[in-house]
Amino acid sequence: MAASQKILLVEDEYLIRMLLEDMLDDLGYSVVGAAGSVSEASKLASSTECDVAILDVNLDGQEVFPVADILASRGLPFVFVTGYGGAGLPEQYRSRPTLQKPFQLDELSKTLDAILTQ
Amino acid sequence: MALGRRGAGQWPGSVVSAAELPDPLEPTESDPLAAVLAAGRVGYWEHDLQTGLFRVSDEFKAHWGLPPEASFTTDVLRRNIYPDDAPGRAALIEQTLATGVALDAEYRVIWPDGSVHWMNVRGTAERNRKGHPTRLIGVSLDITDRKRAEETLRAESESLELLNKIGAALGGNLELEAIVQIVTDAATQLSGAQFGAFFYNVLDAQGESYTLYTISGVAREAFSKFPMPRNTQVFEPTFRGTGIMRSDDIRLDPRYGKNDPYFGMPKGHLPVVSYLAVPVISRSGAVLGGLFFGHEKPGIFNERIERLIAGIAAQAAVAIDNANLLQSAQAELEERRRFESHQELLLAELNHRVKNTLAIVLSIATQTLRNSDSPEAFRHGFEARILALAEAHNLLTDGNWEGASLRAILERVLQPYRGAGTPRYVLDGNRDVRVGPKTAVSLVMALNELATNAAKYGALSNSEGTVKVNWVVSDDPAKIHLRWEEAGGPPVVAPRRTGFGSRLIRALSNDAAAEVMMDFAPSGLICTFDLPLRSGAEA
Repeated sequence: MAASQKILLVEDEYLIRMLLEDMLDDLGYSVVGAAGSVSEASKLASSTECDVAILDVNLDGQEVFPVADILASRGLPFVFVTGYGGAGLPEQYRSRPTLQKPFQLDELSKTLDAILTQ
Repeated sequence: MALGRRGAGQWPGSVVSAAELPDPLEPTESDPLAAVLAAGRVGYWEHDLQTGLFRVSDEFKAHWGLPPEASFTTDVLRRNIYPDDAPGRAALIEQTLATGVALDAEYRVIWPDGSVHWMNVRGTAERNRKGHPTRLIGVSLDITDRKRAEETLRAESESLELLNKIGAALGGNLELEAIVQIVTDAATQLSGAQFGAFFYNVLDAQGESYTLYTISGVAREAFSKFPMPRNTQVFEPTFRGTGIMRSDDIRLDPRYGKNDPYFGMPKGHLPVVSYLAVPVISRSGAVLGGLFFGHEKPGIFNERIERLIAGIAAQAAVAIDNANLLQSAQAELEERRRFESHQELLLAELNHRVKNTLAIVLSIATQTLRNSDSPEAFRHGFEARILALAEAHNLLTDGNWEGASLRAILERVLQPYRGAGTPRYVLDGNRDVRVGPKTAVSLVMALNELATNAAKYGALSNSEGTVKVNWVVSDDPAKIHLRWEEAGGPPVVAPRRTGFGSRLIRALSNDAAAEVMMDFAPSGLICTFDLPLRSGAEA
């Protein structure tokens, strides 16, 4: 099990962030950074050492894609979280794993496993 | 000298010599030539170049509007020929004298009664042995009727051509402004007016009617300094669409000069004497506007022009109707497109919010489950938190989901504990501030945890305890410093584990950076935390 795998968490809704933190904690991951805005998340994305990032697509009306760009340029994997369904992702990110809100523990676990065992 | 060797009979046009010709001024019954001339209403004339004297027949005089007893002289000719035509006549005579080409001139003459008539004068020069011209002789015809017919025909075909052009231009144009300019220019040209204007009504975005105008023949400034034409007696038939108004001299019209404040044309107005105004009426019967024409001379607009302009007005009405139809169809399409894209946006936003809310509910359920010892405890805790979430949504709905005021949030959360008489809580802040939707939801939830705890174990659990909430909004750094202080409750015992409320407050305070203090002092809980403010006024 990926006991000490490090997660960067980008989600602007505090209660959902808490839920994800709990879920990740339950799954044995450690959250090394959490942010709720594009500017904050961009800072973390360029400096934090993490194994995978979880990105909410809509951060208070702003799209998270600049953060994804930074992570992609660093070669770090990430998974999108969205309430909008599959549409709305830019071309280059269509093939990235996506979690639909509200999500289940199992789904989160499988998605992260798949990314980290690649 | 070559000319000297020629015989008189050889000169071109000089078929008979003057001596052989019978005197046309004294026709005899047996003179067939005179009879032919009279039957053909042909005038006879001769002009002696040595004496400068004319000998002319009565018919010739009649062509000049002169009685038989009048004498015809060079002076009479100079006085009565239409001034514009005199140079042309003189040039043709010069040519005949110089080259021997037959004279064939058409010119206008002004009769003593002032009327203008057309003449055709043909003739030839007689010469002496040396070849010098001595006499001009010839005939005349009154061609006024032919000329008038030609003129009418030319005017008609010009009008027809112009009407066709207008039709084509209007048919191919759906821009209102272009249409009215085409109509104004064409109608002004066709009517022979010095200036023309088209006043037309348009609807603004609010559906209010207002009048615009285009003009032709004069600079816009000549019109712009005057007020819009009003429903005076002169303009009324046009603006009401009751009929065409045509006047040879509008100043003589009984309807003219009847209205305040000008009683006629305003000072400095373009000089209008001849006047023509034609209403432009829509298929629906509504008056779209009016075409107005003016000329400083009287009697310019005749019945033919009135008919032509009426035709143009009808074409203009169709074109304007079409332009209006297109415009309203386009506006409707645009409106529908806007509505649809707005609806799409709303649906996407709704979907997002519902999914987010479900995730929040899931989060609340998970948190509550973690801290509940029994199904009953879970049920109570979960219910209370879902109700708090619903309260938060109510607050946001009041504020159009753009945010909620901090004071309103505190009032809403503490409302159930107000009690009778003196309130059990005091709210005191340096100023109110609006927090964004996300912070508002979490803040309502967090404060609800504090209030619920106070009601269960703290200052609100007995009858005399109080809660004091103080806050300070500062600009640099932009944040809210909030202090929750309980007093007068039973002695406080620190809880065994980190609760949902304190976790929420930590999350709200933006993690490690902010100070969160939970002091479970025996006298009462004191909780202080900072909420970072975004963009000055919003958290």
